[in-house]
Amino acid sequence: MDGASSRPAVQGLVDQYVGGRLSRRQFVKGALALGLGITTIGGILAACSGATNSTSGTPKKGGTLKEGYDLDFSRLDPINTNWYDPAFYAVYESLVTNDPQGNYVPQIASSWTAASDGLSVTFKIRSGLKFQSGAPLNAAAIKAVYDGIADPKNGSPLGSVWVPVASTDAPDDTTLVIKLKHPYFDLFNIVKTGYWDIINMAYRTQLGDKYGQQGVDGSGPFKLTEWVPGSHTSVKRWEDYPGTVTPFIQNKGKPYLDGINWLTILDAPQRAIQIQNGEIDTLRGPAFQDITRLQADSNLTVTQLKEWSGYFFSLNFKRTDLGFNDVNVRQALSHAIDRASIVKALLFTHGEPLYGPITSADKSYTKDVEQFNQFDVTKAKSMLSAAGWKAGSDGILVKGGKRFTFEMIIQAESFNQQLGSVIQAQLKTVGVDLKVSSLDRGTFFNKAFANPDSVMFFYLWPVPIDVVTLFVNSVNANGKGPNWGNAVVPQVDAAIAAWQSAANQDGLVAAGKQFQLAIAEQLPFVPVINRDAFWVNRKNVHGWHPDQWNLYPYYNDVWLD
Amino acid sequence: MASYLARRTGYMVLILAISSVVIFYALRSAPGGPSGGGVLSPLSSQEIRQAYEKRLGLDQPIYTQYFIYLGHIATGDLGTSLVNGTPITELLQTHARNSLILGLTALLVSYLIAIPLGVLAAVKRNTWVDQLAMGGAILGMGIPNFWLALILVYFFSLRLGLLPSAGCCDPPQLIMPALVLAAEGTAVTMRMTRSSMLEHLRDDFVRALRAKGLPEWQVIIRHVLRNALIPVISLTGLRLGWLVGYALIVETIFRWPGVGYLLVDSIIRRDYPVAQFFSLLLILFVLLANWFADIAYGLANPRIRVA
Repeated sequence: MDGASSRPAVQGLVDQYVGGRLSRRQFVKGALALGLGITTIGGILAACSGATNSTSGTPKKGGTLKEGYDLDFSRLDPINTNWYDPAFYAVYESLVTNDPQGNYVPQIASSWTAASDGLSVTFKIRSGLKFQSGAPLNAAAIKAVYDGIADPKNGSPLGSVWVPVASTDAPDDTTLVIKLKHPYFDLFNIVKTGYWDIINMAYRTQLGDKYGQQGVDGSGPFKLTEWVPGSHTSVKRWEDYPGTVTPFIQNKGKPYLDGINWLTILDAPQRAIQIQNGEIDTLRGPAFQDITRLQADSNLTVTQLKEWSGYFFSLNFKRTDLGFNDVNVRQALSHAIDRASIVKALLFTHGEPLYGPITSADKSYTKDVEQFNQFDVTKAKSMLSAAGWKAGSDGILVKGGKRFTFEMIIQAESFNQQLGSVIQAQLKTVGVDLKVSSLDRGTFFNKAFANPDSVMFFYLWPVPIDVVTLFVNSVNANGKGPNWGNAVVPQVDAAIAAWQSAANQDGLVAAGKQFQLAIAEQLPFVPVINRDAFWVNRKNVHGWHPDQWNLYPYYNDVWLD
Repeated sequence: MASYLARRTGYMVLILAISSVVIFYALRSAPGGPSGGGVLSPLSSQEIRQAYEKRLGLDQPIYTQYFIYLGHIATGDLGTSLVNGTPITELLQTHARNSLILGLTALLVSYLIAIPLGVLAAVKRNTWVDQLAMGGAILGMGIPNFWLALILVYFFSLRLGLLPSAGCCDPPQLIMPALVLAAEGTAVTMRMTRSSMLEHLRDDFVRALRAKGLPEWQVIIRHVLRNALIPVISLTGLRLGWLVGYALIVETIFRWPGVGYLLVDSIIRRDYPVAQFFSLLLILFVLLANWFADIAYGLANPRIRVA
């Protein structure tokens, strides 16, 4: 194993050790297995000393965890939410989840088997489960959720990744069979996410648009008490929680905490102030400029993980006057973006350039994408010149009397605004006049579907290829979904079909590579950067373990002293 | 007096009616809509968005929507938030209470600081005390409140760790927002108290009281200050209007869940029922404050009633 390829594995090992999920002995064994020398291991252990988020000590029951969150809260409706928030990990459960090593482990399902022809997967459902309302949580209840996602009238925006599913059957209370149109090895990546969390569909139907606002009915260890977007989400312990069978969760019974209160803190510098000041116990997403200060604070533990996310911008293929339907023009604009300098200046090196659609931390990542989209102003200018664009008197490119000017919409948020300004300045160097429009959220998403020139967007998803398919799939163009650039690229559609019909891990890896290369070359959107995820906790918080494979930590083990 | 009262009330109702139309049209004419405000997934298709807005009746002409809205108001139905489904009556209880706590605390802080310092500055005119107090007043009027908020957070939260930087509703969380909200009003009140005191200190009755041998503190506090406070009290009506405006900023900075915070948030999310109700509420509040001031003037000075 070479150094570059072993780096994510070492990082994963360090994260688990710092997160308290590995003992010192287990860490040393793992590091030796990766080929690290004793001196190196000793150095890592020394660096990690004092940084571990301890699970030691006798857990104490009681207390309310106050957690700061860098995003606004989304409606707690898995079928039609913006994205899923930490509260999803408290009030809901899925069929399966990931352990900190990325393996699939039981949650609502206790076991599963795939048919030898790859055309069905049978899940064994734990018996006697109930929703928080007392309604039975059995195979029929799960089937109702999955059928709801497949039903277009429920408006799930993720329907296109459920297309390979032919039907879901519930022959008895503890057996759920997902029948597939063709082999679909990616199925587990889908059902493990918060969008496929299991809810009481009867209650959702009863509440209508108010489901996820005024009430929820899940099977997680906490019950929703209040959801106030822009302010806070609160939950309290569900006293009838039957416990969990998920192996990596140590507390198999009811949670220790009385409740959790998540506070949305959209003002980036305020997040660090609040955790340093003890106003919150844990925090997701401090501002990048505050990381060093937080790491130096002896009252805090900072956990750094790779994040399954990315910033990109679309170029509307319908702007044929600007040549956005011409791959050479799209590539030229991409070559004008200096991603490395953006990572250095805006992320304080806590991230990476994106040459393809997904982070290098993903196991499907191929380094072959790095042959594309490298910063090269000369090449960018030359490609634009070949496309017929010549510099006008003010330096802005002109073709047939048409100036190369277009508008990019961004959601009003300080980092987006900084990134938009940098892209604007970098495109100016090749003679492209970009106008950045910063819009509040009420306007942004409506305008994104109204055929804008360009949309800058940030995605966050634990299996990034699946979410990226939504942004580039031609079936989602023309207002039918979030393919805001109206990109229709046959190579990309073919790669999506291959990804969604992979029959095994090898097939999935090959399709993933095909997909990344198609996007990196054809640019249905222009990838820009990916940031690292940072989590911070005060030393009185125990059993709180953000990990690489789950978007948020589970709260079953968390206790305060 | 009755016709004066009726006239002022009529103006108030007219302004409120015009405001309601303007707010209703302005909100719906602004780009975007509730489907982008967080109720639906940003990834939802245009079809789903349109269906949602149709369910809310937003596909109808704006004037039709306005009359439907008036019909609901007439029956006492203030509506519910589109974003979290909470009835507006419930939002009113919690957020108005929070705003009232913050506003009254700011007013109290303001008068407790401004009046003694204004009196002291007048009595010690042209001394270092006067210069210090007036220098402070100029700073108070000159510093933008959002900047003052950041400075306070930096020192009292980050450097000293004495006060929480944001949130609600424990007493320590009230201190910084109340100070910021009070800052400009304190400065203005202090200057007005000083100038009013100086004016009355030259009056003949003050000379007479001193000649009678009354102790100086009694002259100042019992007699001069009582007269000097009349314009300061009149200013309160105007200050209530300022407080409402500044509260939008201060509540947002300190995440104090009052009416201002809710209003800003609801406009960003295009939560129409909440935005239009609380906009009107704030307008009503300012109108009422001015109405009371007008009536008070009318009672105090009959010439105003006639005019």
